[in-house]
Amino acid sequence: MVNFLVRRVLQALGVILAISLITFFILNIVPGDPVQIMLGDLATPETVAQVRAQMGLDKPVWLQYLNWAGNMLRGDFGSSYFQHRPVMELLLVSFGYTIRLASFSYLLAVTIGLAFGILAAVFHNKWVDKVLMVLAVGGISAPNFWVAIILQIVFGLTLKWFPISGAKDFSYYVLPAIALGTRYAASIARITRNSMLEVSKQDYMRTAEAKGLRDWLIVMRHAFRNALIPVITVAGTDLGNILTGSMLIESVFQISGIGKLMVDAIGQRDLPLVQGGVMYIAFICVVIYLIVDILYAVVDPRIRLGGGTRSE
Amino acid sequence: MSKSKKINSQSYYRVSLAILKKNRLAMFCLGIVIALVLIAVFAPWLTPYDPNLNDVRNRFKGPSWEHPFGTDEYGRDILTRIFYGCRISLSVGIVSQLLASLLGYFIGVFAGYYGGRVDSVLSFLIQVFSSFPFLLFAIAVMFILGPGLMNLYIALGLLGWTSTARLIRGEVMRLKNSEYIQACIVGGGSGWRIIMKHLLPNCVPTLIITITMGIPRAILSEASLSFLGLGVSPPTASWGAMISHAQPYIRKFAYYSLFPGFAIIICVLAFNILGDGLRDALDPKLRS
Amino acid sequence: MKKLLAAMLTAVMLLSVCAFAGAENAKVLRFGQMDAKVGYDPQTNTNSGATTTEDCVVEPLYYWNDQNELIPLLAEDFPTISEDGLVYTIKLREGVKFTDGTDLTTDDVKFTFERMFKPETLAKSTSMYNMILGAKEMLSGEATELAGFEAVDDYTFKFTLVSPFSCFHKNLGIIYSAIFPREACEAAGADWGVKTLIGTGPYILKSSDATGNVLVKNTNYWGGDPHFDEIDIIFYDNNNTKLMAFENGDIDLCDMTSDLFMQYQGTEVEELCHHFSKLGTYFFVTNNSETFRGEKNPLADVRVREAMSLAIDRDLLCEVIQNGLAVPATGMINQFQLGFTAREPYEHNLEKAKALLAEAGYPDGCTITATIRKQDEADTVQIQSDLAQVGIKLNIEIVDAAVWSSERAAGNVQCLLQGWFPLYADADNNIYTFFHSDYSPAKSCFYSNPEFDALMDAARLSTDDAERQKLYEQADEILSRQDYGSIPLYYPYGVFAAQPYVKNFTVGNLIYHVAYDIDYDMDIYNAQK
Repeated sequence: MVNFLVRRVLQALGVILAISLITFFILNIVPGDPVQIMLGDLATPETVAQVRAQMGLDKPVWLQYLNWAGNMLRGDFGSSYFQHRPVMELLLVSFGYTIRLASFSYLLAVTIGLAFGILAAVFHNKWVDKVLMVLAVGGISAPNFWVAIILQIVFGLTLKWFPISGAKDFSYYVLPAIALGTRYAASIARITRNSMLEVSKQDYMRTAEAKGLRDWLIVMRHAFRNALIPVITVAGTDLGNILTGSMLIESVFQISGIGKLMVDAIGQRDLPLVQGGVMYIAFICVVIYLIVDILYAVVDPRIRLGGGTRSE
Repeated sequence: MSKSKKINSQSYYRVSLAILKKNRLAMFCLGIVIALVLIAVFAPWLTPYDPNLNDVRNRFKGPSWEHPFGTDEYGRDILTRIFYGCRISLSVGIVSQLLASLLGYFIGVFAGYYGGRVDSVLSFLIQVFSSFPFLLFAIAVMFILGPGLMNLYIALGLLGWTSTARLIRGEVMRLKNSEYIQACIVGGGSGWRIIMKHLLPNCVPTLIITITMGIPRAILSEASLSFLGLGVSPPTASWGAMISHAQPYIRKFAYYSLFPGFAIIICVLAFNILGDGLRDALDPKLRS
Repeated sequence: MKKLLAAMLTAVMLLSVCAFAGAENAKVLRFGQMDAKVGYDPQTNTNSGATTTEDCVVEPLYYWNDQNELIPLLAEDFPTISEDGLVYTIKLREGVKFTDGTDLTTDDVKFTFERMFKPETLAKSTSMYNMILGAKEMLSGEATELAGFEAVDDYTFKFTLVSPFSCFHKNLGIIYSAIFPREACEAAGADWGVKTLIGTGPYILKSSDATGNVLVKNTNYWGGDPHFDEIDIIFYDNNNTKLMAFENGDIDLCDMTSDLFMQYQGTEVEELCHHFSKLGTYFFVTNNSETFRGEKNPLADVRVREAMSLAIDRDLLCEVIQNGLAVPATGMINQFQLGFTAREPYEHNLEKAKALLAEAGYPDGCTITATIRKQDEADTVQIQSDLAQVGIKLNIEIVDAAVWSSERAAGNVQCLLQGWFPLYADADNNIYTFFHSDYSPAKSCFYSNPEFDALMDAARLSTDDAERQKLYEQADEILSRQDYGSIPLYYPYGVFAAQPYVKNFTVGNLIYHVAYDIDYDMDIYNAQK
């Protein structure tokens, strides 16, 4: 186990290093010169060159990378080119919004997903099952930004049940959380149903059934434990998407989360901010994946032998 | 030995098809997918209108006999543009997933077949790429490549391969220990030959599943990118771009946003259910 | 424990009740706009989104009001200009205090301009002020003091210019030269414009984050009692969301776009929408250079450019695509700018366009590529369709603002559509800086005509507005009627949505002044609340 842990942690560090390298070089080949954008239409080429030198952007890319990486290891992510605030400060503030949005959506997804999944499994092959599963697949199939726009118009503007935009208190998160959570609710419902059906074929379930326990009791006693697996799995595989995939939702509902921050930063070519943001997100994802893998390994010792595998 | 394998595989697909045929919902969705493909291919013959010809004096005409789905902000027929948008969505889905599968297959098969150091490096690569925030990465790639259909294929193809690679790797690791492949190795077959001739046919079911499951994801990603203005260049019609363009007018002309939205849902739904059906049919573990 | 909790709860409830009561009595203006995300130092950004906030807090020497008139603000009067047009003597208003309590003196003016020209400041609009003697030396790091600034006494100072520039004091009326307090600005260092911004203006920046800015009344404002207790600038990056928030009563005032205006036409919201004439012009920029990306450039031929102008249906563009919120352009200079003269509308004639194309050697038309930003898509798609009718195939490449500005600056764009706005009603401010041969390559336009340049230069030297009017008329005739250096399309209107109780709201130019004239009609306001 210790061996496995050490191996996984080293691997995680390697992944972070690789991501930092790839991001840095990708950002360097993205067209659009931040200095030109910073200085605007009226800047002369000499000024542009001068400023580029001042910012160290005229140095070779590898040197820039080493500088940046050195600073990052000391905890200094640099400052945003345009907002002039420390990258870390901007990330922490926007991450607060995102984590609230992500938690609400995920909570919603888990509640609805498990309920749908369990119901569908209990009524396997009956009409309830079919309706719920079509609903679930429908949830995966709708573009979330489109759902967001429609929710905003119907429940915000027309019915006035919820605020239209912003993130002042819980009520502001309801519509965005629905728009964002539907997808994950649907995934969880499907995985829950399948895993519960699989389990119900197992011997101990048959035994339980044979003993004459009532349906719902079987479900509660034996199968429900397995329901936790899809929750972990979806969290494990989709975490990065929950954190950054919310950018369109954040834009529609004017929530200043990390997805929106990143998209805007890419648009401005605010390189330190994008770089810092990607590292931040990647770091969180890698850590969560690490935890998920360790949890799996604890649950299922076979995994330790094969190295970390994650189902997709 | 390989002969007996072939016979086996034939019967395997026959059984799969039989299972699929019994799944009425999946068959219905297969019908939808076929219909969508036909629409995409024969779009010019299905409509008297040019999707890109502006007729601004006739803009925002509600649904009518001439324009069943109404007209858009330039007076173009929305139904026509949905037909043509089908080409974009389907081709983005299919081409990008073929690309992703190609990449995913080879990386997965090399990792699984050669194992050891090759596997460590490739698995590491898989892990790195699946830790990137997907949409953000797609945006960056679109910025680098610039707008355009070909670049959409590449951007989405470059990003969607990790799950395929992971599945194939697992599959190949399992297959490698089978008597059949071990016999090929002992028989002195070259690595490349074994990969192409013996491993590939065995991985086809997995590839079919990942492609079918990947297509709807790619279609939704295309819609998101187009919504951000990073998709195809105007005036080309794409469902995501149509929703994006309809946004300022959605309150007064809701149909403009609703029709392309439904188009996406129907298309993605059909692929998802078909994908589920195919998985049930092709995955021997699920056969009872 | 329970008692403690109960006490805390009560305290929280009391506090929230107090806060609520306070908020109820306060007169607050809630303005909805996008988040510029560039900080609030008017020297380091020229973003009109940031300017709204800056304009409430810091003040320049002069001020362009909403009627497009220049009036003295921190300066007591207009400058006395020496005979040779090189020395500007300006007297400061006495008794003006910054909101940190310090007095405004010439030293602050000196500090402000020297800060602007220090290379490490990375000031953005130095080109509007670098005709001051010594500015260029400071910018290149050769000098640390501004040679052209002379403090006569605490309230009088002189600017000396390198060469006469008749628009100099007009440029001093732009927020980019707002006066900062030396002590506070030096103490704030890198936080200036980020966490601190102190000026002489009617409001004080109380807080600023990603959701918006809160500005509170400066109770000691030298110019009288500001109209509002508080101005909340609330950020909406998505225009659709912003307008819904307006309809929902979340904001009192916001700007909008012509496509969004369309959905309100014929509804009751339309009565709350007000439009005003913007000072700029939308035009189709054509790359005039002989070759483009190594190939012969059809746009180098004036006949092709004229044919494009003939093919474009400007009436349709204004009426339909712009929803009537634009007037067809008759020249490059906007109808409300110095230098405008009434001309015949541009002709729309497809036959003539085809004939011109054939004459130019393109009987079967030609293919060109436009590189544009998403915001200009609607117009460009319509023009694409217009040009197709005469055989010109226009490919459209939509790129993001960053790529667009770098590609354009590098001269890599064949044609594009854009609006270009002056900061005040003078043609020098936008026409010179776009079409003069010193500037046009960096706009991917490459327009160059010595005759045009000479007229524009002459207008810079003249201080007589009647003479300048003549010079600009001639220059515009050459640019937009003879050379078709680019193709003028329309003069746009801006649109605002204001709740019924908002009064005195007019907009003169690009900068939204929310701090000065605008007020509430308290009868309607109280009746609604």
